[in-house]
Amino acid sequence: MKHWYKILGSILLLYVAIFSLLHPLKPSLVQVDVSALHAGYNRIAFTGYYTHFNESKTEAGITLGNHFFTGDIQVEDNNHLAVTFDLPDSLPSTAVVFRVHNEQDGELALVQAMGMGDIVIDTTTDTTNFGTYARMEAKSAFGFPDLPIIYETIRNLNWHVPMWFTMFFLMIVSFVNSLKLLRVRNSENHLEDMLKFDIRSTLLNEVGLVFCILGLITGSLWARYTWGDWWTKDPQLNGALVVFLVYAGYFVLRASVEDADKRARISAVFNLFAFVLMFVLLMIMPRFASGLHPGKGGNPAFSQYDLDSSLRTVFYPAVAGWICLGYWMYNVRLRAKLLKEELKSMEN
Amino acid sequence: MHKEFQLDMRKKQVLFGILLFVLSSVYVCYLSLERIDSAKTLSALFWLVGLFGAFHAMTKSFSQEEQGSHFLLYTLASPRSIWLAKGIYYSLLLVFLNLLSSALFTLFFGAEIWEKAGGWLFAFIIFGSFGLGTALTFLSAMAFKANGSSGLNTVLGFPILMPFMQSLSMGTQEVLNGGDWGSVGLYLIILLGLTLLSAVLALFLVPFFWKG
Repeated sequence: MKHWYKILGSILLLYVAIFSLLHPLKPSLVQVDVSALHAGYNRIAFTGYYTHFNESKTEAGITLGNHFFTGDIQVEDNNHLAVTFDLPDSLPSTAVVFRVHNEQDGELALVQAMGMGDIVIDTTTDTTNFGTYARMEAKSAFGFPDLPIIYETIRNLNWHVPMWFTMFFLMIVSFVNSLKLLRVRNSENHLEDMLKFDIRSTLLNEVGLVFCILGLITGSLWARYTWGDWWTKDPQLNGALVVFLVYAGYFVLRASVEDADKRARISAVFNLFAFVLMFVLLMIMPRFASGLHPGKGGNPAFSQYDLDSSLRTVFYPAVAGWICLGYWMYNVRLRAKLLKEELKSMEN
Repeated sequence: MHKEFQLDMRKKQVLFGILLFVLSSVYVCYLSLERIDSAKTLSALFWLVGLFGAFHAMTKSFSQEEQGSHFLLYTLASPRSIWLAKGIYYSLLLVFLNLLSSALFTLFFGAEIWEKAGGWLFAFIIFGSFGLGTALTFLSAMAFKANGSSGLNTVLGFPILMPFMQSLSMGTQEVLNGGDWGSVGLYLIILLGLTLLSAVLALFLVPFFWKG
């Protein structure tokens, strides 16, 4: 079975595509139906996401600092409820948070810009007679973690991160091929051996660079939806861009050498250099600096605190699947290249 | 190794070229800025002059070699010692270049731009020069071997020098704002680590492409 990895890769990626897009998130609060609050009577309908409003006793309302405004709650179904309550004529600030909590879903909060209608904002408002708010600890639930800012984009973890794993895998194999190339001793067919390793490491880098670009694109999209910008100043992002430029430089270097023997040797040397640099830039340097990308001051990725078991069941297959696919892509490129060379030599 | 040093010292025009380069680039900075009031600007300008000066020096040096005047030396000495000699020589040259450019910055912009900077500035100049010198000597040697000219070294060099430049400019900013070991130490350690890494890699890899 020499095609096992192609089959495995396809199955894994199919599983990942389905599961990473369909598997539910942990419960969260997604919407409230009002855009302004009013002095006196208010009615707010909350929309939850994978929540259990019906199944366990739920409290809902708005908080302001540690004050809680709540009232009569009408539960419609597990994801919808409405609350009616009264607000005073004046409040100390506009920093309201919409909250729902129950035993099953734990603490759910939504921060949203809100108009204050006819409520007077006065920092000197006496708050002593507002009710106080008691937090409720979340129970563990099975689902993708619902992290603030990230929400549904957590699914991108299964696409963005495996790109880098695959790139690393391909670059490592390429690194090994370059090492082998430099270890070729003078013998009768040493040139042939060298060119064999040269083609392999070049094509591996080529496919690796494709995954690097895909990683940059998926990362950039993710950054847009979580940090609000396509690119930010962050050591991990700098490192990724430098890696991209260095490997692009590898191809420029190759293009500028005419002699095949010399090209093989020089690009192998550069490849070793580039690989070690990549390792340092992506795996070591970011740990010392601060930035937005997860994993500062520790593992350069999601740590155990935000990557829970349900996400792992999709994430690890995704990594394995993409690596299989990457190797398959390389294999196709290699066969095409060898056939092309054969064709060229037949023409001559 | 000693001989290499002597040979390079003889190339007066390289030295003059660098002098002229530093002078004119600092003067251009002066013409367009007139005064520098933030540590960010100063450290960026200072290291930009340093970076381009390094490329300039390297390009000059390797284009001299096309004439083949050192051919005999290269057949006699081992590639490692040639690289080492060149690396050390260029690092020292860059130390000189950066000291010169800091003197020129003082001349044009006044001594008050450095007023908060302590002795750590010299640490950065020395570490930075050795870092850039080490990595760039290796890359330029490779670029030179690749196609006989050194135009390629900018393509290969800029991305690889980026991490060096980042810690240099950030660290120098801290120094210029009066930082002590607590705030600049990390940058120095990163710089030292990167320098050692490229030195070790270069020592290991140079023999593989120097032949022929």
